[in-house]
Amino acid sequence: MFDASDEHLARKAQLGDRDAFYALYNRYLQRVYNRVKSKVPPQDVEDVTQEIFIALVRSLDSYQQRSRFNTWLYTIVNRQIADFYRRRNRNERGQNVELDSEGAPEIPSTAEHDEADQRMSIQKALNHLPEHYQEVIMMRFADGLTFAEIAEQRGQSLEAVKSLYRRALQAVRDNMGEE
Amino acid sequence: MDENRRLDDELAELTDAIIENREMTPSQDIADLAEIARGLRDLIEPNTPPSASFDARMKNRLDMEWEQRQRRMTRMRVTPAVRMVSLAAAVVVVMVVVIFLTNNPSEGGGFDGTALGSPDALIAVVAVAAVVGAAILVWRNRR
Repeated sequence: MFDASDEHLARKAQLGDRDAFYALYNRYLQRVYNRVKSKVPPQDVEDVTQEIFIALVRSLDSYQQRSRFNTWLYTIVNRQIADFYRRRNRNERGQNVELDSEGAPEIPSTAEHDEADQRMSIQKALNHLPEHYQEVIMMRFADGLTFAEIAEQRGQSLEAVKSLYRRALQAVRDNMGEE
Repeated sequence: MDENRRLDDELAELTDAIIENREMTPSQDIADLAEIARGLRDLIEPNTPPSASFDARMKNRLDMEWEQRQRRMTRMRVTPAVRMVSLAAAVVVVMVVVIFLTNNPSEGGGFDGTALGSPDALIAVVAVAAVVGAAILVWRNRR
């Protein structure tokens, strides 16, 4: 089970093999969790991660072996994160009306505020990057792949991946500067 | 080695060090990008796994979801026995229709003035209906 490919495990899970599903879960929990941490506020990370795996069970039958399993899974991750922000924006619009009439929320301490600000700032900059920049950063930080492994997965040379990574970080810096 | 290549390599090496919590001083050329890489490490905390309690809650919730999925699959599954019974029922229905249409004494069989007035056309229509019915059964079973 440990040596089986993701695609083989996914096929077995589609046929009802619970162990195969949990093998995939164990393989991807940390990576999905890391990806979610990079994109949503800390207090929502667990909920969003849970929603992603529930969506994975519900849509397992729609996975066709034409694409890699992780490509398909990360599509679900991105969709669930987008859904989270859509829901949050809807709720915030509703809450703003209440705040206008009831007053401002409690202000956190300066240190907490600075840390949260820094975190939000880098998160926001990351969320506004083009897809290929986000992906190379996620593969290195969230998935824990080495640059050589990223090159292999993307079908690019090691030099090209390192260059893409530097441009991605420059884009994060530029986005943060624009705020 | 050109300048860009040198900077790419240095940043990649520095990133590895940052993720592994190793000390490494960046050159002035990439000092600002090193800060971004540290910020990303602090944001994502790649070496911090989800808590055991969260993992346990997740598995509990996923078990429930898995059970529901299995129940749905069982309901949808058409067993060979069900398929044979359905096929037999369809054949009986077709035969009853054929007998009714070809042996109605008051009308002499068939529907005058329509394509079904001819026995050959009637057989063709029934055959097509049977093929379509069988195809639907096979298609449903494959899904």
